[in-house]
Amino acid sequence: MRFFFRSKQFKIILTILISLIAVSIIFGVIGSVISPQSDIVGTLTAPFRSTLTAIKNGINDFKEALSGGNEVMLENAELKEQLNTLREELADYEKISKENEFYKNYLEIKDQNPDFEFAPSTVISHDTSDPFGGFIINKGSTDGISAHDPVITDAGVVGFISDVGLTTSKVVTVLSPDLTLGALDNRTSDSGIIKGSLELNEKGYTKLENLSRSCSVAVGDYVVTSGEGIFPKGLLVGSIETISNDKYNTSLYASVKPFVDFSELRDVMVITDFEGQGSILSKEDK
Amino acid sequence: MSKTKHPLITILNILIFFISLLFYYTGILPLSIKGITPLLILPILTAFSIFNSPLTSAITGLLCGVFMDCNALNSYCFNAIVLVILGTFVAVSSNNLFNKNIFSAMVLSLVVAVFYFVLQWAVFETDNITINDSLTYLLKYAFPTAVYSAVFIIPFYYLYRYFERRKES
Repeated sequence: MRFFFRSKQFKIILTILISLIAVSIIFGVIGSVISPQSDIVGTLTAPFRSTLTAIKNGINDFKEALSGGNEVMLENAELKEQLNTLREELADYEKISKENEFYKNYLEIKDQNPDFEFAPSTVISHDTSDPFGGFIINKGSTDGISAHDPVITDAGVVGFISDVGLTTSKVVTVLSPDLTLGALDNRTSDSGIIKGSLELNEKGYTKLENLSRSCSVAVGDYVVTSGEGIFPKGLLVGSIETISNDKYNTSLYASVKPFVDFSELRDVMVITDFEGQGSILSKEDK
Repeated sequence: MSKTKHPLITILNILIFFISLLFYYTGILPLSIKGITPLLILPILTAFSIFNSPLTSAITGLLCGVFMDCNALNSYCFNAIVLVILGTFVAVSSNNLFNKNIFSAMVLSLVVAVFYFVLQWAVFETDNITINDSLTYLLKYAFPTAVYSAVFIIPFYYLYRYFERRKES
C-alpha cells in the first residue's frame, strides 16, 4: 500500500483529481454552463442517445399497439388532444365569465403571445439518478437556448433549462425542488409558489405553497404561472388535487398534478424569448 | 500483460461500459423495481478495477464519470471525481487488502455503491430540500438503489474474471 502512495500512478491520479476539482469549482461558480469535458462527450454521444431513445420509444409504441391495439392507441391520442382542447375551453369560459384581465393572455399561447419564440426540441436521455425526472434535450446554445429558459409542451409547463451546452441542455422539471415559480389559482387568482417536494413527487405531484389561509382555492382548480420568476404568465401548470395546512399552520399548500405526463415526454418546446424575459434575473444580478 | 495483446477484450470492455451507460440513461432496459433503477456502472467499474491497475481503473472511472456528468443535472464533475476515487480505491484495496474472490467483490461493490449514493445524497439532496424529504430520499431511494446496484457485481465479477483468465492464458 505504501508503495502505491509513492508511485508515479498515484501522482498521475492525484493530478487528475486536482484538475477535476478545479474545473468543478470554476464551473460551480460560473453556474448554468455544462463543463467543457462533459460538453464534448455530450455532443459526441448525443446521436447514440437519440437513437437509443428513439428505439425505446419505438418499443413502447409497439408494446402499446400489441396490448391495446393500434386503433385504441390512435383513439387515445385523439382523446388526449380533445382533453387538452377542453381544458383550454374551460379556462376560456372562466376568463369570459370573470372578465379578468389576466385571463386574456391565458389561451392559445402562441396566438396571444406573439413575443414568444420557440425552439422545438427532443428528449435524448433521462437523468435516471434524478428522482424528479430531469432530462437532456438535443438543443443547446448554438440553437439560441440559454440557461433559465422555460420548457413547455402543449399540455403545460415542463420545467426550465438548468445547464446549457453547445448542442445539448439539461432540463429541471416542475416536480423538482430546484424549480421555484410564481403561480396563481386560475379561478380565484390566489397566488402561491410552485416548488417540488420528494414526498409529493412519489405520486407525480408538485407543491403549490405559501397560500394564504383565507384563500378560496378548491380541488380541481387549474394552476397557471403568475409571471413572477423565469416563466411568462398564463402557462398551464396543473390541477389542484388536495389542500392541506403547512407544517406550522401559518399557510396552506396544495398538491398539484401537472398536466404534462413526464413518463411519456418526447418532444418539448423551449421558450427562448418572451417579453419581460430576464428582467427578474437582471434585478437579481444587481 | 500488455493490452495490445488483447484488443478483443479491450473492445469488449469499452462496449460493456458504453452500452451500460447508454442503456441507463435512455431507460431501454426494464430493470426498475418500484422506481428504483440500478446504476450498473458501479458494479461494472468495481469488477473491472478488481482485475486492473489503479491508474487504468482511475482513467476508466474518469471516462465513465464524464459521460455521466453530461447526463446528470447540476453535477459539475461530481461523477468524474467520485468514480476516479472509487476506481482507484477498489484497485488498490483488491491488490493489497482483499483476496480476489466473489465475497470480496460483493463487499467492495456494496461499499462503492453505498459510498456513491450517500455522497450524492449529502451533496445534492440536503440543500434546498426539507429534512423530511432529505431523509425520505436517503431511505427510500439512495439505500435501495445502492443495494440493488451492488447485487449486479455477481455476473460482472465472473465476466471480468473470465477476461482476466483469457489474458493470462
